[in-house]
Amino acid sequence: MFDPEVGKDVEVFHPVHDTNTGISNTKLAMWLFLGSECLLFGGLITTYLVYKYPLAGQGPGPEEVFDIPFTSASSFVLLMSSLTMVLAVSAIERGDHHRLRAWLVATALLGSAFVAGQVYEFTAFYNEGLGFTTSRFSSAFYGLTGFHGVHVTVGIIMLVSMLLLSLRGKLPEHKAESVEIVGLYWHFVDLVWILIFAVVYLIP
Amino acid sequence: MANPTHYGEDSVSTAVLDGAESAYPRNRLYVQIAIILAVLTALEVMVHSFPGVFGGMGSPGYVTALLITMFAKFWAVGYFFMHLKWDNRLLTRVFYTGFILAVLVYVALMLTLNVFSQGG
Repeated sequence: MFDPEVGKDVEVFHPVHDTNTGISNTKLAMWLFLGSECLLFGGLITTYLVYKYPLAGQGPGPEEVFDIPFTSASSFVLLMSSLTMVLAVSAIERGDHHRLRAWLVATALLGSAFVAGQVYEFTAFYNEGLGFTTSRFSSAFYGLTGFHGVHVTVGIIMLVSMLLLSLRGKLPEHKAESVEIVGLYWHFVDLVWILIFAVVYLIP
Repeated sequence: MANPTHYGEDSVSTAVLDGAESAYPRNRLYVQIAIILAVLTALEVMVHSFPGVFGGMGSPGYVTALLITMFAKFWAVGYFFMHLKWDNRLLTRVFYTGFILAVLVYVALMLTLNVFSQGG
């Protein structure tokens, strides 16, 4: 910013704002967002449960298409990505940037493997005759799991952004909260999948 | 202005706990939680693979077993990985308010459709 008293551009330091909640505003905002996301996924899961059985002659039902061993492996991959994410947060809080980058890459790769698995699963279901508009079950299923897949993809983009910032030296220790907030989002995506895996895939 | 990294005696930010105390052995705890989560996932798959042990596919025993493991995993991720154990309690309240509202949406829809009164 140009300072007329100095006669040249000067670097401006923005003060950290106090909060009256005792929590950083950014973190509180992320938690409020996650609370609202509960309602979004609650609505989608409820819709799926209402429409989970297709009407007669409307294509295959859940028991005919679900591949539980494959989905179990995908669930395991996403669970482990939560571990690598929390280790990334821990690394930057200790100022260990090398491990931060390693764990961010690991988390992004595990997330990508999960999304790739979901694409494979959708393709297999489609080949078995289950398109998006085949039945009320297929629409509810693709709507729910597709929304979740989009959330994972957004999370991967956020992870890659954090990695690029770190590589450019723009993610010092005092900005560790940025990684923690991305981590909160990532763990939430994992939480939602924990619910989907049990309620959609395992409970008939 | 208050120190931005300290949030009072009752609430210490995770950055303070992790960053200032580099030797804090929390990583080991994270790995232990991940192992527990993996075991719980394996249990879920076992319940699905051997439903007869729990009274058959879709029976109350089967559904209860899966709901218990599901909520145990949900709680563990939120409490440890999302730092609710160490963070300000307000965050726990904010999150679970959203979660409980989501459950109420489900219950309201099921009541609207008379699912509970007509046995589905």
